[in-house]
Amino acid sequence: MVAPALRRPITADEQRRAERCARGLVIVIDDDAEILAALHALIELEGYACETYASALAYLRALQDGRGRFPGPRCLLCDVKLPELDGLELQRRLATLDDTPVLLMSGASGAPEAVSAFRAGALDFLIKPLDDETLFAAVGRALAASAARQREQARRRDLAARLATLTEREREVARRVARGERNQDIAAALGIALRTVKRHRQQAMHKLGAATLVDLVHLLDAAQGPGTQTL
Amino acid sequence: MIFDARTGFLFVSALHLLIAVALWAVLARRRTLALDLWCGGGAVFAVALLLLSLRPLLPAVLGYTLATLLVIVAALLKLHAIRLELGEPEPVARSIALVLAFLLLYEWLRVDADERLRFFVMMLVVMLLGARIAWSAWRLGRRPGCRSAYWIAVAHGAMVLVQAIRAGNVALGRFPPELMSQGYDALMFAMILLIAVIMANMAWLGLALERLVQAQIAAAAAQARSEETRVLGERIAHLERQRSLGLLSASLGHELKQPLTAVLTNAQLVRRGLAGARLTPDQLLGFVDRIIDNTRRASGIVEQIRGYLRPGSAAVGRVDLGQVVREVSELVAAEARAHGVRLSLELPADPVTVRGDALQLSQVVLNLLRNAIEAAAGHAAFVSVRAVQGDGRALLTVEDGGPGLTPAALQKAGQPFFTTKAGGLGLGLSISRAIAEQHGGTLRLANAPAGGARAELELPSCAEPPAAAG
Repeated sequence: MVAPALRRPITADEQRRAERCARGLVIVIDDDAEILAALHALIELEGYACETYASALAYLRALQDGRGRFPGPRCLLCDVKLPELDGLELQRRLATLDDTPVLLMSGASGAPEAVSAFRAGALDFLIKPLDDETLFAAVGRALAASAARQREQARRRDLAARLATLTEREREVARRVARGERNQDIAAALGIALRTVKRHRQQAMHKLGAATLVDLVHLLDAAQGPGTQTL
Repeated sequence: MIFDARTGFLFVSALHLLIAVALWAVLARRRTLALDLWCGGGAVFAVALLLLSLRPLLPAVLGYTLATLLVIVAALLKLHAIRLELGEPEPVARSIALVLAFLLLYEWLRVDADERLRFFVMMLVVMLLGARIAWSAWRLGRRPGCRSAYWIAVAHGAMVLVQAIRAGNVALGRFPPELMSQGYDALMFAMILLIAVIMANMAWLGLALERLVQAQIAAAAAQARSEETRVLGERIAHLERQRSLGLLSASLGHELKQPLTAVLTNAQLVRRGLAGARLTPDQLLGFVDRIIDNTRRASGIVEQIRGYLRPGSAAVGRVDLGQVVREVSELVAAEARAHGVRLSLELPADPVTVRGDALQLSQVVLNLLRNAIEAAAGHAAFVSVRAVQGDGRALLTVEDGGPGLTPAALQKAGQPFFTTKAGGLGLGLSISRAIAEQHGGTLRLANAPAGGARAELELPSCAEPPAAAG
């Protein structure tokens, strides 16, 4: 593939693909070419974008290459039994890389397999041969989960960006306010005037986009949630 | 004169020769050294009798020395024959020494001593040899299946008896010390010689016939046994096939679900496409073709399982070893996947033709592949299969990336009921080895230089008839 030029007109193909990706991208991994081809056609027919890989390693390589993707929710549909790196192991590795929801499928309805799949965080476990209704229901759920995760991430990113605009003093004041300290106490603790505390507080609420004190507490709680840098 | 001994001896001589030649001719197809010696002895005796009967017409050295010598030689030959049959061969040097010693003594007696002593010495030696023949034949007769030898003993015993009577008569002075005398004892002597030669040779023939019958019975029994072993072996091989497929059944089920999944997905695709008129007819046809192909693929797998489970009756023909490997690797593909093992085949484009039973050979290949997959699982997870043909041999090598075999396991592998696997029967490799040997080949186990185990199946290849030119 040729490296994309910096400014390039967007082709109609890319346009369509971007539209599909906006609906959702399903990444299918199976070592059977016939199954890959059939699932690819079926998923595209439903208006989703679809990428197929013959092995888990091929997918991981593609992931490392870091090819640009159109934005949109995505999920992984992966066979449990694959050569070299099986579906469960892939799921374990992916859990540390990104939070794409994983749907596992298997020809065997072995309970132990399903149990370890769910334990490793699989969103669903599909038994081959796949029923299309079941498949699309699962894909729909997985994409919804992905969209929710992406929204959440975007919100956190946004919040983090906003937090970054606060000055050291404003951040300290906001933290103390959220903890429930009174303005007078904050002024005493920091050795600054009460007026200055009020100004910092208003400035912080403005920058963070919090209308009320409750909003501020919520925002700071969310910012301290898992996966984001603490204040 | 009631009987001319010379005529009688001449007659007996001719009979001896005739019977010796006839017996030898009858048994010539299964001749042994013992038979040659026995018939040779008969012929020599015939010559001796001829010389004896012509004694008055011949110089003394022929009529006496040579004739007597030939009698001794004939008796020794017969003794050797009997002792060979008995399985206790007479030392040749002893016989030669005896002949030389007798010759010296006889010549000395003939020239210097008196006629009676010479006669008695000769009679004594002949009687002792005859008695030894009779005793050996009697011992032979006691063996199972050699009862005819009793009659040889009886015939020679009778001759010894007649000679004893003759010697007694001579000692008492009733007859001159001369073999060719006229009278009732010469008649008796000739008659006994006549009866004895017939009886002894008939007995020898009987011995040979008994042997023949016994050999046939033994051969029939051996054939029955080998047939039984073969049938049993086939049954065991069949059971082993069932067992190994049973062990594969989980992964075979998975293997079968792959084409079924493709079929179902394509069918649903077609239905959705038709329902919304969202697919072009060309696209629909393509998906229907996928359905057809995958249905064939599924039924092919079922067919292979069924073919593999058919009870094995050896159907020998030309078999392409490469094809066998391809088919079997489809059977174990799912197993390999389940263990995360990569299976790589290196097969020549031309068929690797051997002569044998495709089913049995596929059993061997399945066994080797399954062992290799199990060994490689969790280690360097690869199994490579190579087939080459050359020099009139076809060689199939299965190498795995497992830990290899310990020296003890290498030595014991292939023995029935030796196994390194929990739950294994330890029959697979021994059956495989038996099949390889039945095909005139070998199955060797070794460790590859890289460390894994390597199995080599070598079979005589069945070269393609040269392709017709143009």
